[in-house]
Parts: sequence; structure tokens; C-alpha cells
Amino acid sequence: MTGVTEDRRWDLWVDFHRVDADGLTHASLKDATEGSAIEPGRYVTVGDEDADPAVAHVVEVKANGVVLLRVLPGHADEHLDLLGRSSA
Amino acid sequence: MRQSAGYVSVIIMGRSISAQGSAFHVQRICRRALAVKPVTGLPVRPVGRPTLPPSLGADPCQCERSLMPPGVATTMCRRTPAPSWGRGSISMVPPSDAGVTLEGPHSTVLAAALGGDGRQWTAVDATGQFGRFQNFFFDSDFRGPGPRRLTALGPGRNESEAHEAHHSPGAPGNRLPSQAVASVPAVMPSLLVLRGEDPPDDAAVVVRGGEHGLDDDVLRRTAERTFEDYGFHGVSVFVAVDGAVDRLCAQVDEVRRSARPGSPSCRPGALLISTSRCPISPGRRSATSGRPSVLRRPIRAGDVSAPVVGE
Repeated sequence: MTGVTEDRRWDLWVDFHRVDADGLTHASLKDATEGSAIEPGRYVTVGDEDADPAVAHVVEVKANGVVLLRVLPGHADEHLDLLGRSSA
Repeated sequence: MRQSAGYVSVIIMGRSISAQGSAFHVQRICRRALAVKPVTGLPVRPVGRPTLPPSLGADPCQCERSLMPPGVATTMCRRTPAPSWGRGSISMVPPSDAGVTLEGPHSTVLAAALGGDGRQWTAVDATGQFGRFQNFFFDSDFRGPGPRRLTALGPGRNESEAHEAHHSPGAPGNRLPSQAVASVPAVMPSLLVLRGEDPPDDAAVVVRGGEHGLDDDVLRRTAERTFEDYGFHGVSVFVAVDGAVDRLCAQVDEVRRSARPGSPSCRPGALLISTSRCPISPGRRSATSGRPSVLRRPIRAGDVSAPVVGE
């Protein structure tokens, strides 16, 4: 795997399949692109090697680095206005 | 199966399925990616349906099945809502009724699973081995990585006694008789409730979307993330039941995202087949029954016939 975390296509690499019953996608701070601010309430871009990047709302960042996200439907381009914002 | 939803990584698992809407993690996959050694020192034999203590109720986990479109199931269930002791009874039969200490390089019990009937719990160890554990209670208030010990009730002990013994093992009267104690060192960052039924039958199709969905690097990474999250190496998948692969690929967003129809980046997925009864067209069947084979090209109509579940 190359260029995952180095690639600025997204702020945070996710496995889109890792969704729990609450609809939250589980990710890890370890997979955040350097310089990305992964904080609760923020909207960030997420992606993987296959899928188009998406925008996700950071619901929770646990002490162990687990990030719970709510991925918004559609392409990241559809939610550009949200990026950088915080819902808080 | 019509090729109508782009390419996906499809795995067809062997063994049997006992309930519709299976959702589980395919530890076999990450075992391949992680090259984890087989379990040793974890003697487990299946037992019948365990009896939960009355205090736990019929469905202590309150796990939601979260079936998505008909025939498709999500991969995770809700975590147990309340961090109280004894949320679940792991059904296990140690080698002797007196109890046993289960220790080994990969034999720690790391997660418990809820069966399709809401009562049956299945233990999942670091290698993804499934076993049913009896008379074990685990503390669901696991937060953060670190070794934990699962304390067995032992013969004749009830839940509250085990709770006391667990939290105050040195207190007078709280020490379980050595022959009755079965403590399992475990790393259990948080509790994940899994479906506990048997692995799917020959006809169950497990899907990970995307061209890279089954790449070793991707599997390793996501399995490691699952470990950090839940304490076992797991890979999230979707299961197509009743031949719902098309529907799954078309309707489940998590799969559809990665399996973009018509996308230039949509290239061959991997088709792994297992067992002699796998629903794959003649000539492409694995020569070695029971061992998966990989088809490194786009999945085409005819590769996978309509799965038949529950035969």
C-alpha cells in the first residue's frame, strides 16, 4: 500500500466497511494525514484506495485513537462547504 | 449473478450457516494477511446453547440485527449499552469441569459474540477462532488497551460471586477455589458484539467492495485497526444472503462506494472460493476442496451462480 497517509486526497484513511450498528464508521488517528485536524465536531475528508473521497463528521475521538465518524453520502465535492467547519 | 454493480471483492465461505442475515468478521481473511499462528492451548469444544443467568434477560446485549436491505446484513452489532458486569455469559467448556487457565501465545479470549437467537455467545480469540465458552463472565467495562482477566464462575458460583471475586480476588471468601478458577488474560479494549452463529454455508457470499478490498496491506491495516478498537483482528465484510449480491452491491453504500460501476479505477476484484460446494462455475473451482482460490480478474456473470443458503 502506498500513498495512503501521504496522499492529501483525504484527511483520514478509512475502511468504509467498518460501520457499526449506529452507522458510525470506525477509523484511527494513526491513519490521519499529517497536519489534519481530527477533532470531534469537525468535518474532514475520508477515503481509501478505491472509493471516492467523502466528507465525514467526526463524532468522537477516543483516548486510544479510535475515531468515530459519520460519513456523509456522496462525493466529498458535494460537501465542500462543510470542510473545515465544526458542528460544535 | 448479474454483473451490475461494478467489481467487488467476493469471498465465498465454507461451512454452514444457521441463520439468515449473518453478520460477522472474517478472521480467516486477516489470518491470511497477518499470518497468525493457529491457536494452541485453547481446548474448545462446541456445546449446546448456554443458559444465561436470569438477571441477564433474554437479550442482554440488546444487539440490533441491523439488517439492511433484505438479505444483507451489517458487519457489526451495537455494543452493549451499559458497562456493567456480567453483560454476557460466554459459553465455554473447559477441558475439565473444575476449570482451567487458558493461556497460550494466541489463545486469549478477546471478544464475545451474540448468537442469532440473542442468547448464544461465542468467544473470539486473537486468531479469530470461534469457540463457545461456558460459565465465563467478562467485564464489559473495558476501556483502553491492557491486559484483562476474564474470570470464570466455576462450578457452583453465581454471577455476583464471580463479580466480587473478579474485583476483589484477594478478599476473604472471594478467592475462587483454584480448581474452579479459569482466568484468561486478555486484551479487550472494548466490547464488540458479534453474531455468534456458525460461519456461513457454502452459498453465503461475503463481500468487500473495491479493487483493493482484499489486498494484504489493506486487510492487515484494517485488521490491526479492529484490534486496536476491539481487541481482536477482524475484517468487516458484508454478507449476501439469499443471493443478494447484486442488491448488496447496488444498495449498500459502504460497498457501493468502493465498487464504483463504470469507474476507470474499477479493476478486477478477487474471488475466493471455498469448499467443493462453492457456487462457482465449473472449471474455476478450486482443485483443493476447502481451500480458497483467488480469481484475479473481474467477476463476470456466470462466475457465481445464485447462492443457495441453508442447504
